[in-house]
Amino acid sequence: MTLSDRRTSSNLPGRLLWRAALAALLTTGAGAALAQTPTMNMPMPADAAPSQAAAPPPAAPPPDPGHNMADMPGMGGDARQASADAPTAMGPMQGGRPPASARDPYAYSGGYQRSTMANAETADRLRLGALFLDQLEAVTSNQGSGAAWDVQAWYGGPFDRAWLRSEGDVRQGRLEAASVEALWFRPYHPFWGTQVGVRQDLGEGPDRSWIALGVQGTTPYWYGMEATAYVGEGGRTAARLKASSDLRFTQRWVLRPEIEANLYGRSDPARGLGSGLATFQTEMRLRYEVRREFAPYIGVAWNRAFGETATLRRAANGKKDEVQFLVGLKLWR
Amino acid sequence: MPLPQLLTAGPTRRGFVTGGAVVGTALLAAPGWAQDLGGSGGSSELTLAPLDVNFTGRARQATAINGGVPGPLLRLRQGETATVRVTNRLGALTSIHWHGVLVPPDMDGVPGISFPGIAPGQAFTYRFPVKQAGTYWYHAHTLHEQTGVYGPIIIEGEEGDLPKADRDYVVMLSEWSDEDPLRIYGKLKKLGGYYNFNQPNLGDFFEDARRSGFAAALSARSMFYRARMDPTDLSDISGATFTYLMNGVTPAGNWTGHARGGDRVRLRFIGAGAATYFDVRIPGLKLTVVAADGQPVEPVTVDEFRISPGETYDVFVEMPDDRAYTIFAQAMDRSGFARGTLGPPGAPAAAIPPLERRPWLTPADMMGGMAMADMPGMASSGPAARHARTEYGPGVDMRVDQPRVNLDDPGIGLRNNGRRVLTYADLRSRGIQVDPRPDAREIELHLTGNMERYVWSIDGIRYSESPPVAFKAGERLRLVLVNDTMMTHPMHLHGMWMDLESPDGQFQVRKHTVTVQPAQRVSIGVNADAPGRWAFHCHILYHMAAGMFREIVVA
Repeated sequence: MTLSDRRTSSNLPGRLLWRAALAALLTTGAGAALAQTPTMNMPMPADAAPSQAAAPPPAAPPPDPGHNMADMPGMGGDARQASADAPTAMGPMQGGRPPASARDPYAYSGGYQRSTMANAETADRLRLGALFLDQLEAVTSNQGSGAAWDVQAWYGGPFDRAWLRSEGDVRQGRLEAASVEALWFRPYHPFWGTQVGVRQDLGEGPDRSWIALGVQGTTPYWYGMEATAYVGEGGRTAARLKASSDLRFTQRWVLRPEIEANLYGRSDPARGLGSGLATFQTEMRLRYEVRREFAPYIGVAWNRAFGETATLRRAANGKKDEVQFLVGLKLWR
Repeated sequence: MPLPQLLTAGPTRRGFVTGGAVVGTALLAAPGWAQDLGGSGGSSELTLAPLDVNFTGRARQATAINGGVPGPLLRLRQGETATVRVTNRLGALTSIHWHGVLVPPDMDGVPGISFPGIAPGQAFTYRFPVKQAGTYWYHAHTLHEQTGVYGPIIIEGEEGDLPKADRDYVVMLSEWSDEDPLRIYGKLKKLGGYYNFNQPNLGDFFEDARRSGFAAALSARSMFYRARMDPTDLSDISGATFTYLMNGVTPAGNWTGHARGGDRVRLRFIGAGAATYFDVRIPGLKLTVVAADGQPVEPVTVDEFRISPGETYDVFVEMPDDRAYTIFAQAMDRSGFARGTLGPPGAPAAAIPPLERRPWLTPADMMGGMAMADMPGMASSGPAARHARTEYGPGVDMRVDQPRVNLDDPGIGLRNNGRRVLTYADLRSRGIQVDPRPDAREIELHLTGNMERYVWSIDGIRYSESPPVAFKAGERLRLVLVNDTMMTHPMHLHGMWMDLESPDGQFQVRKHTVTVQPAQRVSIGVNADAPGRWAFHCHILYHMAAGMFREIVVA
């Protein structure tokens, strides 16, 4: 994959972000850098050290130095003092790879197979479908009014799932920009999975098709993340990063800040996009969960364009940034 | 020994089978439990059929037994052979399992393990020798357990020198939802916290910060947030959808057992919730626990006890006067309660205590022994957990390396509440001879799961993917259970007793359902004296369905 040479010096942060995104997603393995695994650097008595703790798991992510239990309630200095003579790091409590010494869970079977009698419980592999209409909203801004959506749907068992997602907006009755993605989700970590599939861009300008490769999951402290890299026709590349979090004011009032960055490896003037960081949206939605599945919201979004994209936008309608006021519904089933 | 007259002193609702077309929430479901199927060697008939009910103000259909929710009391006599014919008039496959009763493997009622289940329109005749005495229960080993297929069993027989009771009542605690259980399960799969309306929020953060300081409030949360764990996740399913029932009666309906001043009353509590731990007390009365899971224990007097889905506790109370007393059973997550009354006919009902403050999980519930290392008198770390290599996948969101082993913890929400609360450390079997052989080998199983995906498993392997666990016929073995999750799991073994051991390895109490608290390790002696295939699972119905279930082969 090669980056476009068309860079403008005014878009340095964009380029850096772009490079970082590509590096994280494509060269270092899908999103391992994003899936920080909390590692408990716990002091513990030597006689109680688990055998597997002696040798750190071979492929475990780097320990998170900030995550020391000593700053936790009930984990005062005495414990550290008591075992200071034999500090032993524990393995990570979440995710990671099994150490060579891990117990064989099949050893207890004594060679027996499970009963083949009819009507055994199968609910643990039940396939379900879900439809999340995260954003269905009316938009008003200094550049006219319109509507926007951000929806996801999946179907599958407890782990692997077929995944559809789409986002886009309609302005003055015309489809401005939209993308539809069909992905296969496969988890590789308790909170993270890969998404591989295709993306189709619709709206103003020529349609574009892409191969999609990304990760989706939850970071420590509960930030939902989607990071996807795209390869299109003729060596086009792109990346989309989304992050959001739910801040619960009460059991029903929830504030969701969200950011989305779109990056392109090469400019696409026909679609009004320049290379590097093209757009960055900062959004804030305050919803009221009448039911978990039904939440009206109001919100505000600040859409910024950068670099060549900003130039193209300014040429088209005189403004590069946009502040939107949103009223919408979050629905799922 | 002379046996107390059962259930005759209670309000007789025999023949009231309209199924609850009663105004508002003051509903009385058809009181199947008040029917007495008798026993004494005769055969019994259980017919499972749909029943129109209204527990919440909305008309729904339950799956009832002989027209009641719960089903009728099945009274058996130790030494006889029980014959129970079960007819399925429901629309789906069902079964009846005799919970805690040691029966032959093909009579145990687990579809796919004991037998292929009972198809709609079919009947199955259970026949088994009754080897034991005490309080047990029966229930469907399918999702019908949530919608009404459960009922009490009392087996009369040798129970030691228990004092004679003037009154004897079953108190069966369960829950009802207007939602289909499969729908509940699907919602949890999509949003694990769906029913939790006690999630951490800005309001309680500020309240906490005002009380204990900003930094303390922040650090109390950071451990859980960093691990993507919800410290308020005590019960997956809450009062948001559940109406909690006592003998099939809503709190407004106020199930009442009659007793007068001076009466010695035996209450046979049965934890028949599909997903709810209940914390039970009778304000003003002391509770003397005399049996656990049907088996006699050294009497221990407490103010309160926690009962899991699956457990039973026999409790004696002495009525001091002619006033009414409230039997109060709040859900572990404090999102609701079941309630009834013990008192003379016509006495005004006693006050209902307020629901208590909702507890949060503590570091000890997440970290086990590690978090307790610096707590005075809490040197309770046991051996390190030996994680299976299958515990490192996407289905397991947490592992505890150093579980705690103490049994003297009443559990989350009951610690230091100012009342004397029963713990497993208080339970000592009475008159039970355990196998004197030392535990020949140890089988360590880890209770695992991923709350966000709502996947539950043992050693990280869901039931449908799992190998069986093989016990050698005749061996005495030690089953070690380590709870890697932050939820409390009632583990139930079919076909054999579980002899719970103290942290120093001494036999303590014989049970059929053992609660393993978050980040706890328990040791259980098992006599593998029942050749055949058996079930072993978490008795939270939805955890079992999601995969926290194993087949045991004794051969």
